[in-house]
Amino acid sequence: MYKIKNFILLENPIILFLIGIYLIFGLLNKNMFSLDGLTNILIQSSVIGIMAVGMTFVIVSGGLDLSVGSLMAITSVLVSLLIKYLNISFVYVVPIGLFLGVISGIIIGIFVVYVKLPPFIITLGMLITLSGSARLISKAHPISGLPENFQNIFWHNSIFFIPTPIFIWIVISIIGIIIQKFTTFGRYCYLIGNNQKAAEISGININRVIILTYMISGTLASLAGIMLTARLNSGQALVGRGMEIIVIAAVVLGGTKLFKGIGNVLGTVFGTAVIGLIYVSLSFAGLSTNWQEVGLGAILIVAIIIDNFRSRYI
Amino acid sequence: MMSEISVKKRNQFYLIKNFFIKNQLLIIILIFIIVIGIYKPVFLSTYNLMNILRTSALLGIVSIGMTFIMISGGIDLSIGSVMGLVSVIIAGLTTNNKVPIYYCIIVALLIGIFSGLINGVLITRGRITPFIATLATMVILRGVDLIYSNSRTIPIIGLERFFILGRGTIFSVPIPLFIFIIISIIAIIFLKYHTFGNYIYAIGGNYEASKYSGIRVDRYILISYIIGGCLASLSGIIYTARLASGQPMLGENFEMMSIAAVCVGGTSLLGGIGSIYGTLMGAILISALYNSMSIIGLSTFLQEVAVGIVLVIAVIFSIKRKRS
Repeated sequence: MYKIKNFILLENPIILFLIGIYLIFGLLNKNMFSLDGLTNILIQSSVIGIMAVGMTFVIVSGGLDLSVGSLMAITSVLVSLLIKYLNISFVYVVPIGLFLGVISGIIIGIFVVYVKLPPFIITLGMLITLSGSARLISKAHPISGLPENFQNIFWHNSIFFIPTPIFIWIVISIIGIIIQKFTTFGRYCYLIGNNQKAAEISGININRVIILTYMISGTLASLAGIMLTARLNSGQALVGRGMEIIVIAAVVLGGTKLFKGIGNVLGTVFGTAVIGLIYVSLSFAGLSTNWQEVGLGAILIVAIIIDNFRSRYI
Repeated sequence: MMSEISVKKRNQFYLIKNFFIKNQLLIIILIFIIVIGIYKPVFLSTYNLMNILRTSALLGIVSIGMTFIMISGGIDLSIGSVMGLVSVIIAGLTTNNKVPIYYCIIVALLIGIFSGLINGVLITRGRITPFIATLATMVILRGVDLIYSNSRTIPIIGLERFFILGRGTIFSVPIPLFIFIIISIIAIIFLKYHTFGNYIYAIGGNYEASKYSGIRVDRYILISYIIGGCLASLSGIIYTARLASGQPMLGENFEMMSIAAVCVGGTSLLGGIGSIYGTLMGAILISALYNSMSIIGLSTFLQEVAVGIVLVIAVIFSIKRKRS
């Protein structure tokens, strides 16, 4: 009993927050409690959730990755260009798309580790560069008309009665939790985020670990880009615009602290669900995407402030 | 006698070398501009140079605020959104509500001060990392801007006295440039000869040490964000006057450009080092870079890519400088 109390109150208070706002929004709109409503929320969350898992690793090890949104965009554009105009089967194109994420992660990692740039500057530069390139190669037009197979496999089908996007999200989260808890890599992330000097002196190859975290984040961002392409049935250069702040919000809501080496993937999953819930309920209420942006920014600030006060008094 | 001369010579050589090391990035960009000038003579025409200065004033005014913030060890990503919001609100108030333009300008400046105040309070009282706090306000302000304007451009009609602010000249100096120069002089005086400037350098150099030596750290950080917000709104006002309309997406990417300008000018991203003079040069050079890219005929998307690369290079140099 003590363990459960500890788990909820000290480690993941976001669970209480999630249940609370689910009840409030549910009372305002009965549709939220139905199975459809729940599925809708989870599907909305899935793309953000997949990226947030990668982002958790980056933030826990003391970094930050702003390039995820534009990486989605360029993956989406590249994949649909290859499928549509070069007629390459998507079976080969998808690995190419994922590889793009890996490469971008390696580039960011190298700049962070060897040039010693602050992560947010190099990823900001990457954000501008990648989104510019995405608009350049797509000429700012959506590339639509992708094969039906591709759409079904990455979005519309179900696996074990669970819609594919939710299934992928769950699988990736479970793998993330296992890696973070039970592998040396996962534990090294915490140590590096907590005290980089100490980690270096105690003989950990911190360069490798840091580069690896950016690779994970990049790959998952590309995967999310591919899934969103399948959902929209088109490759668009504007697809991940502003996504980085949503993903960071999800991670921070989940209790991960910036630059402190604190946090876990499970919290991130709940944080993502909170954001999905807010999005769905705001659109149920008929508010435009601009309002969603404002609401999101406000919630991010409130969540961080509450979290700061909590950690001061507990 | 001989040795004295050789020492003197060595000193001179050292000074020149030092000058080059300190300003290597400036020199690289200057060479780039000269090359472009030879390749496309239009670039060096008086008209074009005047145009560059006029544009650089907009970037420069914002960047002066950013210099204060970055010297104190912070960063402000919300300035671009402040510019957009100010632009839309001025246009909306004058066109839709028929409010006199002077009141609109005051309201706009208040918006800038208020957003700076919010940033400062979030950072000093809420203990949020400057980067995240201003990222959040950036999203919120842009959202408010788009909601207010319905994502549409709002025209301003027949306010010639307002448009002069962006288009006119005093003694054949463009007014934006004039304002930019005045603000730079004030900023230099504040930063060099006022305790406020000294404190800001101290806070950026070592936060803990300045806190324990009795400086009211939070107050000065708050003031630096207010200055940043206020100057961003001023730049937004001038830009609006120049375009004669309220553009909801005005100032997009301005935060990146101004960070690049400040870093090119030698201000360290890690705080504690920097000068207004450097920012002045940085703003002019970044504007010249943009201008040269359009003259060569690069597409806007490629320009974006190029600015991303310049930003990263500028920061690499600025960080190396801090370490040495």
